[in-house]
Amino acid sequence: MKTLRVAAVTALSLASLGALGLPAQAASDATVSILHAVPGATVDVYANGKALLTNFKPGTLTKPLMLPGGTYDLKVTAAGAGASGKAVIEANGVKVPSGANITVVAHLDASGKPELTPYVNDTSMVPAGKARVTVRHDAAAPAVDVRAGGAPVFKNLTNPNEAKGLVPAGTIKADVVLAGTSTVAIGPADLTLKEGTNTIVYAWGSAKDKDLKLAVQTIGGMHSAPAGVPAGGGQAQAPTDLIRYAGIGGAALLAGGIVLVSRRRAVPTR
Amino acid sequence: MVAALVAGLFASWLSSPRPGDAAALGTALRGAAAVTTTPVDGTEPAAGSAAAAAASSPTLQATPAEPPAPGPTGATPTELTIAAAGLRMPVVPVGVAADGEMALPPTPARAGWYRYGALPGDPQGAVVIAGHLDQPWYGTGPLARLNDVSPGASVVVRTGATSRRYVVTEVQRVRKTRLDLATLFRVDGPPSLHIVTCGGRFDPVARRYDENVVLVARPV
Repeated sequence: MKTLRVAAVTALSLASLGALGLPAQAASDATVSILHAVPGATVDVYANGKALLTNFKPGTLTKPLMLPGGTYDLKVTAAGAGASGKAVIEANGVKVPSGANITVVAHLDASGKPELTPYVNDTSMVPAGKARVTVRHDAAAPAVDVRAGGAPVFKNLTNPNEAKGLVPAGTIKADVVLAGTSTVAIGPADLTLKEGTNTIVYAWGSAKDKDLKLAVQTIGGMHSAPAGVPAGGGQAQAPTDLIRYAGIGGAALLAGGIVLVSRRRAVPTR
Repeated sequence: MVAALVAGLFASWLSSPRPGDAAALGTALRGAAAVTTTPVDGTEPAAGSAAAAAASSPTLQATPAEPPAPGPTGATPTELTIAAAGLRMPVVPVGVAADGEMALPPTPARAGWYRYGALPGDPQGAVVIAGHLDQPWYGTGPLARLNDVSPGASVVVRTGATSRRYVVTEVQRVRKTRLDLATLFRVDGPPSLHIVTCGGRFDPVARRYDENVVLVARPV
């Protein structure tokens, strides 16, 4: 189900990339980052039976990995449990579409059970002066609103869903409240949304254990230039121009008139 | 020889995963089901076995997923000087106008520094400073003198208490329809300074000039 949803989103984002005529960079590889957002557990991560990450601590994020597109069987175990150790989380047949930028998040579902969710990150171009912000609900918590400067920006977000939008680049004061209330669950935190980036904010942890927090991932390379540099307002010389044009026109008329008159005169004398 | 190659690949995989490592890493993952699997993608068998060896001792780095530090503040350009052209003018930070074009100080007496681009001293990207050539209510501003600047001239950009010196490499006149905006406003590549104003013919109906004058300088 989840994989299907991810695949559909990816197909869409790839289509939009193609429409923009962007270079097909690393056509066959996907960019994959992994975020550990399960409180309290240091883990090892296996991909297709091989250890990919060991001693992976909560609240940490890997650098982006370039992986060939395909299907991966992912398993998360307690640190040191070994390849055949008991799975804390297991997700088989996770689709990693070629060319996509993905973050796989190990997190709690709304009821507090660990799970893996692969998200496709939006890396389409951002207009000049803007930043993309994505929020993802990966916490054992009810629906939330995400606010910037006290005003709700993303409403009624539920685990494990995401919301995103384009905002003016700059620093905002963000917090997370229980949906439809002003009961602050996380924050406030100052968030610098850099121009031309996708800043992805993860709400994670557990409401019951009172350890809700934010994790942030920033993806760059979506910068756009302004549409132009309109660097001239013109001179206050329109009147002088008019006089000059009138002068030229007048001279032309005069010259034409003289020619006509002289021709007329010329005719009778012949 | 082969051992050295294997060790080298292993070491490079250890240091940090980069795009170039994708094949080796991918092979490691694909070969996971059976270590004896022949590597795909035309990967050298040596690389395959190195990757398999590497995969048995994973060292992929993870760092705290914390918000990035706020950008630098206070070190923005405050004054532009091109002594050879007798040009000296204040500089203020500017962004993007509602129509998507670069926002500029209304008066030709001031230039705007594009605050989403590079800062003087940044290791990469273009510092973009632009200003109006003229205004009907002002007349011609100092940036009209960009046309008189020759390659080799010195440009000084003051940022607060310090100054950065640049040397002019070229002054171009470019039709606005052909201006390479992505290069003008690039955020990567070697550090450079781009000073922009208008030139060419003024269309009094559209109230626009048809060219931009672009001075390109490199840091010294």
